Amino acid sequence: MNIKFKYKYDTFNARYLSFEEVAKSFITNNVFEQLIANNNTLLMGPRGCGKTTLLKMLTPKAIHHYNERKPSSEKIFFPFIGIYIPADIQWEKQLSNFSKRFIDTPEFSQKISRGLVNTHILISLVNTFYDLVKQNSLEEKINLIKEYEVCDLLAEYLKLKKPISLTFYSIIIALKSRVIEINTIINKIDGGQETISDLKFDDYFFEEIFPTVSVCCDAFKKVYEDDQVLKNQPSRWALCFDELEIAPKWLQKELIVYSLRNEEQNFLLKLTTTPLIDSDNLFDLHKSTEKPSQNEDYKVIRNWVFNQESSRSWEIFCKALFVSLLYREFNVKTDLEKIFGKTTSNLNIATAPLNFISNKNAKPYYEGSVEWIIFKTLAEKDASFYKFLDKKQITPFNPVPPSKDSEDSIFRKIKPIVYSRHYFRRVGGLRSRKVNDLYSGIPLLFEICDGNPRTLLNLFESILPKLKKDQKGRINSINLSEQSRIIKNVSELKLESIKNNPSSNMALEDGKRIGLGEILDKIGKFFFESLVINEFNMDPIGSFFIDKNIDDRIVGLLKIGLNLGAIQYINPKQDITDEDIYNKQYRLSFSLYPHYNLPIREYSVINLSKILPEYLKDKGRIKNKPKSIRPDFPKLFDYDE
Amino acid sequence: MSIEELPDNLDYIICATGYESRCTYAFGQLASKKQFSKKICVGFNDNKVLAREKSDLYFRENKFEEHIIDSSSAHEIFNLLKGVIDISNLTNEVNIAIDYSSMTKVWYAGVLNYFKTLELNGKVINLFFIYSFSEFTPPATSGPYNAYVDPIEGFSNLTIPERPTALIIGLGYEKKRAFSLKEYLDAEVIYLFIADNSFSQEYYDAVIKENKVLIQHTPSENIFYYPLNDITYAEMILTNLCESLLNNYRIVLAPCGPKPFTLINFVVSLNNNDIDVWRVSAGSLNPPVDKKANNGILVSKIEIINPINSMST
Repeated sequence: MNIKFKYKYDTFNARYLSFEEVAKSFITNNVFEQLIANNNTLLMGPRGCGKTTLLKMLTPKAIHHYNERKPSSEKIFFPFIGIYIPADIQWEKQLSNFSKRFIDTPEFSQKISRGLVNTHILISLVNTFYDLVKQNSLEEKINLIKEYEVCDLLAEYLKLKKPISLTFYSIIIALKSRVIEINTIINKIDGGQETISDLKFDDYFFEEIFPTVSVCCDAFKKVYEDDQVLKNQPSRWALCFDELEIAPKWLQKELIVYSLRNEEQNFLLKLTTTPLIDSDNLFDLHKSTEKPSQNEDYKVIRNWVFNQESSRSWEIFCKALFVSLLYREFNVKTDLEKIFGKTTSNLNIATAPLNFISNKNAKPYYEGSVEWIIFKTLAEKDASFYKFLDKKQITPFNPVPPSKDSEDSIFRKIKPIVYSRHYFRRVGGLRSRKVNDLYSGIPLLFEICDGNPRTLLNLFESILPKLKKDQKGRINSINLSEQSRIIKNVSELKLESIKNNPSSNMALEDGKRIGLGEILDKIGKFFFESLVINEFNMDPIGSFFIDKNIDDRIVGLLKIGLNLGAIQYINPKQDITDEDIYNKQYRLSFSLYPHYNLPIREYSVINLSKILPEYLKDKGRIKNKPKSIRPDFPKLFDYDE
Repeated sequence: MSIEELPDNLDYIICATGYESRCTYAFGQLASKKQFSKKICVGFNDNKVLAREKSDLYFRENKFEEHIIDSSSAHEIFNLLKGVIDISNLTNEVNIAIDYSSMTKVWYAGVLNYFKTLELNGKVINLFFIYSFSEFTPPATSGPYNAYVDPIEGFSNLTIPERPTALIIGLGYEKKRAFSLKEYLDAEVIYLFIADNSFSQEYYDAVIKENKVLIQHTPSENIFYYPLNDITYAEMILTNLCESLLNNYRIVLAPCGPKPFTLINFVVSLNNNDIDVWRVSAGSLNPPVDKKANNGILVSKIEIINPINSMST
């Protein structure tokens, strides 16, 4: 991952960085190791999870810069030459708005879209050729001859208008001029100087791109294969399409459905996309033969935290990144736990007054320990916890583990729930907690970011001004409350950013709108109720299945939430499926947990229709609020007022 | 320029009738001083509340030709003008007044776009964009989130994503409008334009307050302040900034603030096809507010002489 403190509060997007900059701060990980395998790959993950960085690292320019700085043992080699093809929201919006304008003439719209996309891919291709030649210093005269030779072939295959100077630069300029041609066509139609039916289109508006890319790669290979340029390079090429989900639908379909199955290609496909592929739009569900199959046609790499193994990898990555960033800032090697503390100790904040009366030498969970005091105190103010202990044959006034086994199976398991309930409840109601002090320390700082390097780097930048070097050259520690405050702030900003994303807001028939933010708030509050307000339960609700009872519009918003990293797909088994987003398990992103005052844990699952009874399919919106589950807390959500 | 400096005889005047009282103010100031060959009034097909009925009546009494169209449709305004404007029998210099005080961005963009694409046959079109300033009304305490972040038709060309996006936002005082636009667009750089306090301290304070987080997180060298009553100055800074960015970026102008600044965004984009103007809006969810004229008027003259357009105020 990379960082560039170019602007205050930068959003740390690898798209901003040159290949050299990407390579300079790249830290390899197991996702990258999977990505460089000799196969077609779908790299899936929400926005900000680092897909662009990984894809950019597949280019000869980035890997050249990376290897240049590494000893032989750490150099990376892989069996293809990557051609990076970027996409972005501005491009996607321009194309989709254009398609809407010409909705009555879809053939015209498709031709323009194809012409533009083909041009973009070819420019990326020729840029890669150019980079390969530039990074290998051939003798000048040979270089000029070879460049002339290959550009002659490219000009012919790409049917570029002549006369043209036979250099890579000129080929790129000629391709770029096609964009001007395309806009001229559209402007003439807008101004009424031309009609669509009279237009004559060049071949590039019709061509399938893959054969064209293939002949260009062959031409390059033919001219340079005996030279240093290709001498140490692999023989295959890989087209690396970034953000497939925002590419035009026809391209998505061609890439996934057709190209992934074509074994004759001399290039691989490395595609990045969101955590689920929108199968409804891409596939004709009646023709199951159209669907590529996982493992046979392509490998899937999930670049988010979805199980214990990915969680461990994430923690290792985060530690390495933080240590490296702190070294860059302060030029000292640091012990992160000395600066941020251990997460376990943060729970003591919730119990600070009790620390004075606790016995430091007492064994955890046994008489006199902080845990014992909190369990006992909660039993006194929370009747349902009292009953729970009683049912488990644990004395509520002396809640010590009745056996060694119960330390793990009950006490350790319920500890975060007990602490949350203790922190937020008082006798007969809830405590007002404007800042929740429960978020700090290692590894919680990393868990909060939920596999998203962009969130991690935003967090780092928020922490950085609080760090100073003392006279002995050590970095000061940050107190736990301060960490909690920073984390809460990062969480609030992330939620506001999700809520304000225009795709997060959807029109209803009655002219009103519903937003993803409203849905997230309802889910977050439901989880909080389950954890803190409802009857004490060892397995409170903390995740959900999206079931088919849910209104389609809400499902649409949840798909956007998945792409934006607002919800996380956990325990993934399938990727492309008729079931699409349904009947899979999700939770809110951990980065939003501080906002909803939830502990960073995964809890039991429930159908979403139970959480959102007012948004069921065919029932429209129910005006009345669902009944409060616990009548003894009349004001359920006054804690944050 | 002042309204006195407008030509005595104007070929057309185009006004909008809506729920803001100020929509009739400019014509009220002009009616006794200038002559108009044709008067056109464009009404919104929704939000027929507050001052709307009174405004409709006013334009009717003043013999305006009435048209009702969708507030978000670039096509409808374009087609409307195509049907009602005919410059073929006019002199070589056509003078048209447009009161855009109560128009949506899409409408006055549509007006400019229409004249941009019109076959001029050697004629010069002088568009006098008239803006009635309003009395200060405080921003809503909780406004709706963005529903539209889209390129405006006629002010966006197709590009390829070979260069990153530079985002230039004209700040207004609506809560949440400009927040997180940079993240949404994945823009590499962000610049802010803020109307300074020379026109209204209250408005300036509200803009600063509602955009506090965004301003705090933008480097000070990327923030430009301009006087609202000297819009050519803002045009000059904006043009220079765009020219310096064009080699390395694809530019998105996102005007969220005062309409005169939005107008210059369109003018800058008209003169350079590589600069997009985007609409950032909550659409019809914005609660209607009756903005009353405060007697201040700003007139901006845009000369359409294909292919070069110029602007003066």
